[in-house]
Amino acid sequence: MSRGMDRQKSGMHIPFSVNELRMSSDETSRESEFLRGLSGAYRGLHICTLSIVGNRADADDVIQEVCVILWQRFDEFEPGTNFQKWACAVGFKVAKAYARKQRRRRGYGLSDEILGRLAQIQSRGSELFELRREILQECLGKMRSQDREFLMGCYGARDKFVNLAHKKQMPVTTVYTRLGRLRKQLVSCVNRALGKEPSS
Amino acid sequence: MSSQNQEIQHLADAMFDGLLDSAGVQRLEQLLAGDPSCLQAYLEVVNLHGELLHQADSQTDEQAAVGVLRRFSEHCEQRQAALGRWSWGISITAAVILCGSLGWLASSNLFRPVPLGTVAHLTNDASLRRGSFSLGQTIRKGNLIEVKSGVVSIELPHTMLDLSGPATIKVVDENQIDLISGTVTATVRHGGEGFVIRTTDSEIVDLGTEFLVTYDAEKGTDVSVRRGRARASLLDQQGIPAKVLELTTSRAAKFSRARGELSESPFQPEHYERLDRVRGGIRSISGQLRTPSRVPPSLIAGDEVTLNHMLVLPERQNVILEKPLTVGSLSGDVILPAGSVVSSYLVHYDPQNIAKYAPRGSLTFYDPVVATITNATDLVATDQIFGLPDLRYESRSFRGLEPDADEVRISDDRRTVSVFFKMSPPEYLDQLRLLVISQQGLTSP
Repeated sequence: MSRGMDRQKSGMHIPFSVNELRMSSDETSRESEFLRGLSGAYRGLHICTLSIVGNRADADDVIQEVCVILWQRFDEFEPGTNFQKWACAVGFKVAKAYARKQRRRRGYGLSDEILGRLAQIQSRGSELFELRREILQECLGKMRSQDREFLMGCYGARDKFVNLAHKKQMPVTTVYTRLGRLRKQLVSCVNRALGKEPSS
Repeated sequence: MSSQNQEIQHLADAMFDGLLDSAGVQRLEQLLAGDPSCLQAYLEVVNLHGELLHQADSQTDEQAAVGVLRRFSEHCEQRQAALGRWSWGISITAAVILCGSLGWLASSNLFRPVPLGTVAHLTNDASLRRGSFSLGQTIRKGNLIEVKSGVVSIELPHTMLDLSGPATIKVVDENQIDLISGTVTATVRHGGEGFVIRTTDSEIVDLGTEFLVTYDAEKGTDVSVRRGRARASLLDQQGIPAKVLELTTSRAAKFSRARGELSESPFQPEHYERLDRVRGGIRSISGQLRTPSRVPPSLIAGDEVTLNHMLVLPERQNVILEKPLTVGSLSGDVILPAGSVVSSYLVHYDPQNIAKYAPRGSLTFYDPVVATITNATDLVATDQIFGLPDLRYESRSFRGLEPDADEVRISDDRRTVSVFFKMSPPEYLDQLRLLVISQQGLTSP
């Protein structure tokens, strides 16, 4: 029985079997290969899962589960093919399952049909999104440094915004208002660069 | 942007922040189902959030990936008791995989952030709050450096930073650091103008200078300029400069955001004294060389034992010679003309019979070395001129180097000296004095 089959038959959300404690050097090299692939694909994979669950905290939970499943199924990955494409395909499935579970728990959420279409457009539009990411860098560069730092502070903080507002000694509504304004500014900047909005 | 797209962005932002309620989700579903362009617009906003998250995350992608595995491993450990032996095995396995991952990370240079500088100098008591440092170690973008004790010097392309422990900084890029707590001194060379040190309540921009910044969460920020100019700004709660003050040589200022105050304060040269004492004009050191953070009372044999390293002690600095001085150097007598501005450094090695191996190291100065004094007689003769007043020096003949055993080499530009002192019983002490001349006062011997 292959190690990959061992992983799949375990039936748990845990990727490693006890037998893997006795790893040969070949297996260690396989681990390195997995980590190298995962590291290279991590950013894209995170965005894939975020596009389905939409929420930052949920995406953090999903990405953990996705990484574990990727390792479980790593034997299915064909060396030389696109790791990110393979990882995102798995990521979409896991994220959709997670979103369905959350929908049942919360009583509301986006439908399966919409989630499926989001996954489709996200995977097909990777070049366009990449272009937007590049333009975003330029837009961030044009921002006032104080605004950029504020924005990075908000996105870099693992805290809730209430805690962030407390640390910055400002009302939480001020944090949201300023953040919303900066987000709009960035989206407009990217759209203008792509000719989707007239220059102001 | 169309009003529909604005609404999509508003809903996507709320979704991302975890603030979208049932009605909001219904409205989003309605928009996404009704118009394919809304799906595209929604994903554009989601991608923007994703990219900003990655921009703001100081971790590299592989650190993030390993972080995910680590959290998984921790999660397994928490479930260990409930899941019993099976879960225990799995947790251990996950930990093994994690260790392997970290090992791979440690040995991999593939995805590390851009190197910006190196650790140029450490005092013999330098330590970090977490981990360890070695001379020459690369400093990368985003590194958080938490100095617990001693002085750690970081050399960036145009700037030398001296962190006096306890102090914590984050290296933002080659032109900016965030001072989170403690004291940092920045010496900015030509080409590095515009270097920025930010604290929670202030921003100091170099305009060609040597300046010192101290930040304490309760007391606020103190800035002083020893030479040159710097622009100091008091930041408001949004991080926007509210007041600005330009400081020039020998001026200082205090910031207090609580009082909205940015005021000048007396310049205190003693704030720089510790640094002068431990580093002087040393640009960098490498190998088994350290500077002492405190001047020892005596350098007589057996009083200041150095096991596996050599001490470099900055002695009197910027001594102006009133008359010509002849000193015995490694390459013969050197005549230093009157008016020369000379700084002295003593390399001291006294392993007694405890050390296991002889250390090797090198030190680089900003200015050229004009004399290398290795002979005991010449050392004693120059103690009076260049020695520290309260320090007791060895006067016996074994103090100097042994020409056939010890090695001293000087680079072609005379700024780097490499040393190797062999252990030679029964007297282990070896000392070497280096005289460095200010470039303005350099005259060929």
